[in-house]
Amino acid sequence: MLLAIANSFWMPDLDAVVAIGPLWGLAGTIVAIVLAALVLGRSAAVSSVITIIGATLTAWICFTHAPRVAQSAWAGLAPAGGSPMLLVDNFAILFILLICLFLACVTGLWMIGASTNARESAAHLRNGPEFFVLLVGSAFGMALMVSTTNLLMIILAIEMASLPSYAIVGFQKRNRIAAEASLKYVLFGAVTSALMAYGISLLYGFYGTLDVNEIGRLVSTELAATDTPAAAKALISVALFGLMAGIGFKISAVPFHFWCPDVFEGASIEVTTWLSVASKAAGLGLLLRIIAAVLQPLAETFDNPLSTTVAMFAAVTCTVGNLAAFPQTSVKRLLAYSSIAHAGYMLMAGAIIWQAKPGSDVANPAFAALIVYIIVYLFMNLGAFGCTALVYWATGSEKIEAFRGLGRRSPLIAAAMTVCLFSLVGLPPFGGFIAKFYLLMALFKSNLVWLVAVALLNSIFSLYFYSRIAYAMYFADDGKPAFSVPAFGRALVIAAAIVILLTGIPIAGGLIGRANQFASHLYPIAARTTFAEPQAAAAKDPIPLAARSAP
Amino acid sequence: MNVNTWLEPIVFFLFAGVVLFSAIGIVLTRNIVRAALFLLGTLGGVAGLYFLLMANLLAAIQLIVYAGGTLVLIVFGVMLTSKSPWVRFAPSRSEAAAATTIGLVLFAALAKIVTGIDWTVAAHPADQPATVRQVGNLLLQQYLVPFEVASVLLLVVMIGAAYLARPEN
Amino acid sequence: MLTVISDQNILNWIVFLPMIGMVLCLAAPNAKAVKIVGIGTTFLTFLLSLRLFPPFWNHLFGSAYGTAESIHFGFARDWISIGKFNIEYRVGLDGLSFPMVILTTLTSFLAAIASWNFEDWRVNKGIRGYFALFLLLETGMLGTFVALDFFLFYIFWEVMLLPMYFLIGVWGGPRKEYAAIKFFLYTFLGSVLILIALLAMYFKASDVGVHTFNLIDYATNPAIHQIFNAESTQFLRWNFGLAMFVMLFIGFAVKVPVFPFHTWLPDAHVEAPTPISMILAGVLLKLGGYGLLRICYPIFPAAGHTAAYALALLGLINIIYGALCAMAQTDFKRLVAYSSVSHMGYVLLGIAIMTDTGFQGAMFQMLAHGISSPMCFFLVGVIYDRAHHREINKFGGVWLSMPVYGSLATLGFFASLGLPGLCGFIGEIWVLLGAFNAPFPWAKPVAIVAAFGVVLTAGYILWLIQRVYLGKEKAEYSGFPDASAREVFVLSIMGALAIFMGVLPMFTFRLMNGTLDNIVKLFNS
Repeated sequence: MLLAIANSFWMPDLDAVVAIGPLWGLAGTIVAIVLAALVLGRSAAVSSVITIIGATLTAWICFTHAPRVAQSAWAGLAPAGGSPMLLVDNFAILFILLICLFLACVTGLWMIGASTNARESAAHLRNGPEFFVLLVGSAFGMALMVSTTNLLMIILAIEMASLPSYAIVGFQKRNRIAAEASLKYVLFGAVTSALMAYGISLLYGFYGTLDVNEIGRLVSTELAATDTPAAAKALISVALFGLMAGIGFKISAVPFHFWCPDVFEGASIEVTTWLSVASKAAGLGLLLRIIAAVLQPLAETFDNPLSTTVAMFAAVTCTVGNLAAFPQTSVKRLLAYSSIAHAGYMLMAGAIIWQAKPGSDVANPAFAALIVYIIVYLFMNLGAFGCTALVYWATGSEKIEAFRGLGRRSPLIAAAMTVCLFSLVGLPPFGGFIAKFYLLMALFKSNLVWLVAVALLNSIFSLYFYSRIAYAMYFADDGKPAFSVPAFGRALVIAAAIVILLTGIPIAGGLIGRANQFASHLYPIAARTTFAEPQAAAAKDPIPLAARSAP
Repeated sequence: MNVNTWLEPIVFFLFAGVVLFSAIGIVLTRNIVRAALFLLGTLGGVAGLYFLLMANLLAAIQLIVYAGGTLVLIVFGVMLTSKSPWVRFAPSRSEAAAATTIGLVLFAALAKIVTGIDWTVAAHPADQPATVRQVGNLLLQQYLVPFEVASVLLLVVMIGAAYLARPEN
Repeated sequence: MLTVISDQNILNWIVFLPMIGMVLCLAAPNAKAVKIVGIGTTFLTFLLSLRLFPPFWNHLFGSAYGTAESIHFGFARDWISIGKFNIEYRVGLDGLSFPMVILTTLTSFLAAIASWNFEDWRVNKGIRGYFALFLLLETGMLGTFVALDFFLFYIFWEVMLLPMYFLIGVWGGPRKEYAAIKFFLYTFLGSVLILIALLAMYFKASDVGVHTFNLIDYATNPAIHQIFNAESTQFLRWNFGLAMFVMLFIGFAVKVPVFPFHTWLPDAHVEAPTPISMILAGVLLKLGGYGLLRICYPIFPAAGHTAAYALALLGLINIIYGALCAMAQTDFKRLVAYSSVSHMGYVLLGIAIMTDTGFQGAMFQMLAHGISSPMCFFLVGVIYDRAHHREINKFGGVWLSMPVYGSLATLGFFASLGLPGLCGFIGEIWVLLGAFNAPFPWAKPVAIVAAFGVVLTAGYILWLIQRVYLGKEKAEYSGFPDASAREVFVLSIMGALAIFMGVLPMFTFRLMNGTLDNIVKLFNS
């Protein structure tokens, strides 16, 4: 009897459980923080150390997984006969690795803040365990976002990434600006989530399956068919738009970006740093997966009427971000707009893949360019926000004026900030240039010359506002006394600057080479639609929309 | 003669009536708490319709999430934000006009869909097994992973909510 | 030491020695040590660059442009190399880059000496940063001149940008911030166009199966040459060669600077401290002309031919407009800055006519201007250090109180004026001769008008000398000490070179003519 019951449950086999190891690592970290708080008492130090250990451990699991996954193309958790719920392939492993690396960096930044920032450190330390549960929770959500092709899991993953983020944005409860930022974030997130859920429910209603690859195939056949009514095509576009709204929110693509500046300004600086990179990286990962799996087949079958959509989104996002950054006086806000602009640059890689014709060799360089860009962007933002944090903790202000005379008051921090800023512009010899150059190469290769022009024009715009900070640091000195910053913080930002310099010249070749190698393993995700026929899909034989319209 | 053939229409019109009259009540009443109460009637009536369609789980969710959760949230929201619970609605003309327009457009669209569909019943819902069992099976088999992820999500969110709601010291 | 430095790696040493000096500067214990390290590094770099003379002196230019025997001290390594995509670290010298390298190392050395009185400047803080950026700038300039891979060229080209921005913006005059950002934005705009051309050229070359950024290959590989210059090759909807030529030209024109893109120059010069003005005038402006000669013309001769009249016209505008502007200035430094605009017009005109004589004249003019212009800026700096203003009309009779300085100043300004026997004359006359004989119908009238530029130049320079150095001695300047030994040292080196190049120009031509002839040969093949 008991055996019969046990048999009626679906039990994943051990291989599959091991395959999703990186996700266990992050989920385990959450549990460990909670348990440690119960057993050892509430201690911020313990929680932060557990977070760093968990992140490192997960990164290590990623490393051990990578070669095994590379052989078998993918490993995942799929219910018997169903399409995979979780899919830990090289793509996912790369992004989880980056997320873990960044999680450890942000935790380090938090520790520096807790040790120096007298005003807030008491509350900081008291609520450490909650903070880290939420932080790791959002990291877990981001890891899920990049390791699934199931629409239900996508919704859950985005919520898993978003809900804890809302809470950590408003973590300083006494801070009115933080509370307002958090509320804005919640409302915006709720609306976009609703749009996405709506889009996904439409897709599920049309096709009776949640598997993205399956839907991609069906969508492309339906759109390619000549007898598909215009209304049906419009509905599919609406559904896809809804899906994109949810992801656009995560990467703050225009017009889903309005939350970004307020949230970045209101949240504490560690949280801002976290969101500026991790949230965007995960969102881009998910977007690329969907573009490659769902939408790329569109290009195979016919001349895609939506072919310039992603390119337009990218161009507008980039331009709006850069133009809106001009009048900002708060460095955090300025960097928020800069992160919107960079999301635009990165979306350009998505535009290439979206338009890639089958058999063309443009998609691999695009993936490689995106990988290079995200890696360099991670360090640029870590450095820029890290310097801003150090200045904020030393002066109590994050306005551009607070940076005045920094070249004299704290030359090393100023130098690190300069490197990060001009790397963000995309000037040689910094890593930002290599990233942008490789992206431009990929754009050029797929004949998107107008996007090249947009990207370069934007670089010129951005030079102006980034150099305003450089101006304050070196050209305008209000004679305030020098200050010292914690050694660990200095080491962090200088390390980021050194990595940017290294990726700019000496190891640029190695970085691009690795990224290319990696991308060639990644790209087959689009072609990988040959899973065992899903039971659910077989049961509800999808009816073409054309046949489903009213008599 | 099957009891369903005469009982079903009666129950249907009963629930439909509740939905309809409560909806009209929401529009007409000026008292915000009363409007909330009427909303309960509408939501409950829709739940009843779901029961009638043998969509047990959906009906239960309707009652738990909307009637139980959302409505309570609305009432709390009203009571926490307004100075007295007897606040009265005073929609301006433009607001009323906008609401009417949207309502009419929505009604027209729905009416077109309803009249455009061939309502021939293909299979009687009673032939299907109970939905709760089906959903339960799916949740613990095919959708075990999302189910577990949702539980992690709830754990984390609960911790966040507890933190935000807890008074400082 | 001598075994460490070989003919294969000497260019690497020359390019990166200033960077080693930069690190030492940052580590130096006090201001004096920083200055010694800075000057020492530039001097060592100059000495090293003298080792490059023999092959050029012996006239080893090879039979054609870019052949193995025409490029000396070559060094190449794979840098960013993935499959077919290949960016190289490739450097080498020919008669085009060699004189520029010598000019750069010499000007940097003299400018470093000119920075000795750093403590007396308006902004005299952060000497470590100043010399570090100065040396980084030298690395950028030398790297640009020796790079033979387009990507590498671009990287070095941009490496110059940031140090220059900070050197003007931190240690400059009252409106330094404005000048610095203006310089930055103009140059960046230009480099963005170069970047687009770089990408387009790479992909077009890939179309014929050659995946390279090698500048020599671009010019000499027949398949690439054919597709780059064919009428039917398109970039978007324009003719490929012409589109590339125009984009590259604008990129380089900003640096030259050519007429509508020149407005950053007077501001940058006026606000920059004296040594930086010397570098700016002596080397940075030459990069534009060098870029045209290295990239535009050998690779896109057809487009160069099509655009010749426009370039000649712009050159003419530069000559006349620059001279007229210079005449109207009352600020000493601004006048010298506009005289640069005028002088660089001859370079552009010489290049535009695409003949041996024109190219020789243009190169010579660049070198001559590279000597006379820093000298003039240094002369302005000397008087500014004493008077703390640069109003031409307030000066007068300076020669009487400072006889040595006055004599050297006259020498410098006459060199700039183009007095026969001094360096400026040769360059100008060569360009004008070339223009007279150029195979274009419009060339003769242009040459005639351009010749009037010489008269205008004589006009504003003689008037300047009259107002500043001649006339009655004014009381406020009577007590000024004459030029110090350091100042005399800097001025006499440049003065001697100005005379040497003017009297014996063939020694200068000898160093570069072979390569220039080879480039012209490319046009006819």
